[in-house]
Amino acid sequence: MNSFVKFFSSIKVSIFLLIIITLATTLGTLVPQGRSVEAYTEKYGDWAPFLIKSGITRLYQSPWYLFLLLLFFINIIVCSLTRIKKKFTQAFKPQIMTEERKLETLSLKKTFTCPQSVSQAEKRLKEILSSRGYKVKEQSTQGIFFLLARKRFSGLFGSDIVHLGILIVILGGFISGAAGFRENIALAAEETKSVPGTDFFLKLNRFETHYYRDRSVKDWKSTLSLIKNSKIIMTKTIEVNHPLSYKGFVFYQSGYGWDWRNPEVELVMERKTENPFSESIRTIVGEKKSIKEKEIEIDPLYFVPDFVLTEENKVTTRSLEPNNPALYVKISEKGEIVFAGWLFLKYPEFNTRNSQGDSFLSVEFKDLKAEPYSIIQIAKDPGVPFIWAGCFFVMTGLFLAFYFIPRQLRFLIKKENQYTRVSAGGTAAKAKDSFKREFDKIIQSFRRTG
Amino acid sequence: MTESALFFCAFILYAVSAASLFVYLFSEKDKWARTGYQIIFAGFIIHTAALAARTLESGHAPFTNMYESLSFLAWCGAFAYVSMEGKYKIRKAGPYFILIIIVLMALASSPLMPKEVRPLMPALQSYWLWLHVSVTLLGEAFFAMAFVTSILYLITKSKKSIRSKQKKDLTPERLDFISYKCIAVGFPLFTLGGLVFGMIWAYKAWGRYWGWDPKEVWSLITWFVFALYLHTRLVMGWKGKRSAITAIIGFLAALFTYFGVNYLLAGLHSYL
Repeated sequence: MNSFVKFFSSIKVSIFLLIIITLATTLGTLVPQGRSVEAYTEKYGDWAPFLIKSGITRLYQSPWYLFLLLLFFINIIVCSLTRIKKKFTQAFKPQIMTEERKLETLSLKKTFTCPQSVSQAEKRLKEILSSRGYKVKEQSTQGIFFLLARKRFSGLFGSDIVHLGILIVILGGFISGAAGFRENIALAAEETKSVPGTDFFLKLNRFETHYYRDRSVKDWKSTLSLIKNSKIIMTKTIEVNHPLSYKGFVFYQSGYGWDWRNPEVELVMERKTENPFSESIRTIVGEKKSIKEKEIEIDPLYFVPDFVLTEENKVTTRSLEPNNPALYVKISEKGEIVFAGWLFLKYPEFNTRNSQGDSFLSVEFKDLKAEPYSIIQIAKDPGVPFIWAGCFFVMTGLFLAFYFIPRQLRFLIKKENQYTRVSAGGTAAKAKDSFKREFDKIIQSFRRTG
Repeated sequence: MTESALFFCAFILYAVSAASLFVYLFSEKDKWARTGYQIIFAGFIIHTAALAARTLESGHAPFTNMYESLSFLAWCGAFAYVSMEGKYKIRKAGPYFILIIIVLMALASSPLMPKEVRPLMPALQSYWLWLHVSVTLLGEAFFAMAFVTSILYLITKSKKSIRSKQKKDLTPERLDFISYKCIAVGFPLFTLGGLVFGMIWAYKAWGRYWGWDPKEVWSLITWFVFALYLHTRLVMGWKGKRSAITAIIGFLAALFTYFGVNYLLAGLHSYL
């Protein structure tokens, strides 16, 4: 046990761990994280199995990375505990009496005589010190007065508060990893789905996409209702950066999409010669429609939102965005197929040509309507309060450690012949320049009144 | 005046200030240092006006694309310089640092950086954009200054034997001290802006405070390196050369977080 404490209280071990963790963390950005086995095999070839097995491909969740964090966690605890006792003594049980020659070893020192009596000098000095925010303690023995004046001693614990904060953050991280849950659900307007792991339901009342003048997306707004036992508990319109929170569950506007299974399409058919006509029809993909007393039958068979041809010349969709909507249509007249091919909403010039020539019949894909849906991320993360508390401690501690530097002054006042002799000394761990200025000012204002 | 004219004026003033400070460096006449300081101060004020004009024109924070972000980082650099010079009199390190500001301004004005105002994508529409980016970049500007003083430390230290007469305000000890002071300002700012505000915003926008996104990871790496700097210095008593090298590595990590991640690693922060 003793050697365990000794090992983990060593600053060299801390530095070593910090370096190792930094290097490991860097490694995780050099190898892409969380991809498929195929992707790694393609990129790294024979190295792929090693990368996957060693956890490098999921480095931040790998047992050895978590183990490093655990070691770091223990190291911080042991280091802080072994050092804090001395700090407590320093802060709460300081030694007031001292020897004159000890004062002379301090970085700031001054000795002088003044005409006041010892008690007058002591009283005046205390006034000056407390007006500068110092807390003064005193003791006297054999006609010698000892003063200990200190301020900003909470700064002594700055680094400990930072470390406490980091411990809480790491703890919060482990809690998030173990107990946090996150899931996306897609909802169309008026649709209700159950929230996983709970007895309540989420209903999407309305979903809107707002655009800027240049047609780029400005925002998505989903009006959500939480329903429990068929009763609406709460309703809120969420958007990106403005989620809905309820009992530890948070609902985020995470994405959007369209239901491409059977969108509504508009086609315009036109014939210029031989029984000329022009007619627009609306139908749903997969549903046949007839016009001209059933002489012409239109069959919109397949639809893709973002048409692309694969290397094998197969049609597929590049994305789920309507970047290049395309429709495969068969048209027959009097039972005979007169057209079968792809029509493009945005690029009609690429439409499949009518096999019977332009003079016969033309068809164009004019409009598309698909049901939009909203993707809502449902998250529950019990680690979050720990993270915020930890961050608060880290920032408070950093402020104290850097800008609330303890200052300590000692005075020794005694009678010497007909004068009073004052010896002063001071120490500050950091910011010595401004401490020296204050020290000089204190001495000056004392001597001026003398 | 329009934003671009103000930006250009600030750029010119920074360059003139650097020139004046370089004259001071070789002539050692104090008036050149004073002039340089006054000029960069004027440049800083005009640059502030340029950023304000940009904000009025676009209606959002002036750091949502590379051009704006570089200009803002340069502004943070000018702020860091003006404040550190005012407090610690770093004069002879000044001109080298202003060179960094000039490089940032030059990169921002390069034709490769699109300058038109674009509407804000949904994820960026938050007041956390202001808090997260401005505090982080301000912290990084102080890291940049520590980088310059650390490099100067290494140079003056190695030249010590050659040049017996040290210039009075550029002793290695002073440079080491200023590096530490810059990190003492930069580290809390970077922690607050980069990590704490970043986590809060990520939680509000993406539903998680931490996702091991490359930009997040590299901010953490930067933070680790400066944590190493502080621990080796304050607990193990490292000073001088080893401290300077750690500060340089820390700045390079910060630089990679700012630039490299966008161009070399794909992630959620790829819009900026």
